[in-house]
Amino acid sequence: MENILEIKGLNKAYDGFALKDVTFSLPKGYIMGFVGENGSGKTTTIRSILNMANIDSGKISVFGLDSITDTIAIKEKLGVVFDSLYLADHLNAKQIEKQLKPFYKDWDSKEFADRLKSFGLPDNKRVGEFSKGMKMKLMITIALSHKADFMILDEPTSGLDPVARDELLDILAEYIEDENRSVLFSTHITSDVERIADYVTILHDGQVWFTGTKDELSEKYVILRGAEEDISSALREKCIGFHNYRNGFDALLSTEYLDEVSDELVTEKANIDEILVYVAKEDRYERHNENDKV
Amino acid sequence: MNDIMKMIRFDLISVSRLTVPYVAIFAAVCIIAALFSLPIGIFCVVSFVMIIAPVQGINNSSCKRLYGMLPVNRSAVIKALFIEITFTLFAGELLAFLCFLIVRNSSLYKMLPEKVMHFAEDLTKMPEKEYTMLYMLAAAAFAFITIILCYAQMRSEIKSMEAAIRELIIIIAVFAAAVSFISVMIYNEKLDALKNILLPTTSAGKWLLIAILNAVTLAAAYLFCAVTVKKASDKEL
Repeated sequence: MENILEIKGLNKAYDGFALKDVTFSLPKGYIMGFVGENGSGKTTTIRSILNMANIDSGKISVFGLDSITDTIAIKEKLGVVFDSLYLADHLNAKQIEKQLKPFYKDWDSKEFADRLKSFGLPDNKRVGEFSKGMKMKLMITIALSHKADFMILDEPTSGLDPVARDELLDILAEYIEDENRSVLFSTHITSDVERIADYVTILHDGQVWFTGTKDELSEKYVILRGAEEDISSALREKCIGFHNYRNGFDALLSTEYLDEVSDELVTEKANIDEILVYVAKEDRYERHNENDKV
Repeated sequence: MNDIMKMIRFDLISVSRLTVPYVAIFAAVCIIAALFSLPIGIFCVVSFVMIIAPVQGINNSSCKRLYGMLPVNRSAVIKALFIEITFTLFAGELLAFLCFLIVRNSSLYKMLPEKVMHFAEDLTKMPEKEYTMLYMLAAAAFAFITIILCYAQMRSEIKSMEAAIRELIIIIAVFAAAVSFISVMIYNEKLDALKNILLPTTSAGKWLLIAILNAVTLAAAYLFCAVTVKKASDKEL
C-alpha cells in the first residue's frame, strides 16, 4: 500500500513541551483521525508537516517528497483546513479566488464556482460574515479547486453544530471515494473519528501512543471492571489508568492479557473517548505515585 | 507570473478593499487643493502615506498562517512586502511633487475668497529657490518614512512587532534630537560645511540631493529586505 504521508522519528522541542520520536504513516485512499488531549502535540505535528515549524530531527514525507526541500511541490497538492479562517475577512469568495488562483497550476475556476453553489456559499458576501460551518466549507472548496490529493484538517469540527459536523464528515467521506486521496484530521470529538476514520493515531504527551486501523484499536483494548480483591497484583500492573472507587475498580487493559482475567471480572469494549480518558488517568496515577515517593 | 508578483497581486487584492476609497479621497483632495494653490494637499499626501503604508504591513502580519500554506517561498513573501512599502511611499512622494507643481502653475486660487486668495497667492509667488527647497523637504520626509517603515518591518519579521515598535520610538527620538541639534547649529552658523551639503543653494544641487535621497532610500530598503530574507526565511510561522 502506497503511503501519502510518512513521519519517521519526528522530534521537536519547545519550552515545556516536546514531540518525541513521532512515527506514523497514512496510506492513500484513507482517512486518519489524529486524536489526543489538549497540548498533546497534534497542531505541532501538523505545523511540522506544513514546514511551518522547524523540526529538530526526523523525516516527514508527503506524496513521497521531503516536507522541507519539496515544500512548494507538496503544497501545490495539499489542502489545509484550520479551525479558524486564515483568509482576509473583508473579501468575498470571488476575490479570494482571484487572490489564490495564480499560486496553483491546477486551479479549476469551474470547480470553485460549482462547489460554492453546491455548498450553498454566496460568492458576493464577505467571508468574515460566514458561519463557522460555511468557513470550513470555503476552505474545503479551495482545497478541491486546486485538486488537492491530501487534505489536512486541524480541529475542523470543533464549534460546529451537529448538522454542520455531519455535513462536513460526509464531504470528507466523498472526497476520498476515488481512493487516491487521503485525509488527516485532528479532533477532540472522537465520535467523528469513530464515524469516518479508517486509521487512528493517538498522541499523548508528545508521543504516539497508538497508530493503526480503527478496528485494531477497538480490538486491542477493553475496559476491565470488578471488585479490587478479584484482580491479581500482576494484572493490576498491566492495567492502564487503574481507578478504584467504593464499589470496585475500572481500568483499560490490552486484550493480550485477557487470559489472565478471572471470571469475576467484567470486560467491555472501549471506545476512543474512553481510551483517551484512561491514558490520561494513567498519567495522573503515575504522578500521584511519584509524589508519594517524595 | 513569478512568486514575488503573485504575492504583490495577492496583497493588493487584500488591501484594495480597505484602502482604495481612502486613497481615492486623499488623492482627490490633494489635487483639488493644489489646483487652488492651497498647501493642505501636502498634509493630505503625508496622511495618505502614514495610513496606507502601515496598513500594508498590518495586513501582511495577520496573514502569516496563510503564507505558510501557500506554495510559495518565504523569501518571495518578504521581498514582495518590501517592494510594496517602497513603491507605496514612492507613489506618495510623486503625488507630493505633482501637488507642488500644480500649486505653482495653477491660477484657480483667484476664485477663492480674498483672505484665502492672498495666502495662496503668496505660495505661487514664492521664489524658485525656496520652491525647490519644498521638493527637497518632501523627498527627505518620504525617505525618512520609507527607511523607518522598512526597518520596522525587518525587526517585526526577525523579532516581533513589539520589539520593532520599541526600537522605532527610540530611533525617532534620537533622530528628532539630532535634527534639532543640527538645525540649531546651522541657524547659529556653526556648521556651514554641513549646511552646504544638506541645503544646497542652487536648484541643480537641490535636485541632485533629491536623487541621492531616493537612491539612499532604495539602497536602505534593499539592505533591510536582504537581511530579513536571510534571517527570517527559516523562521517558524
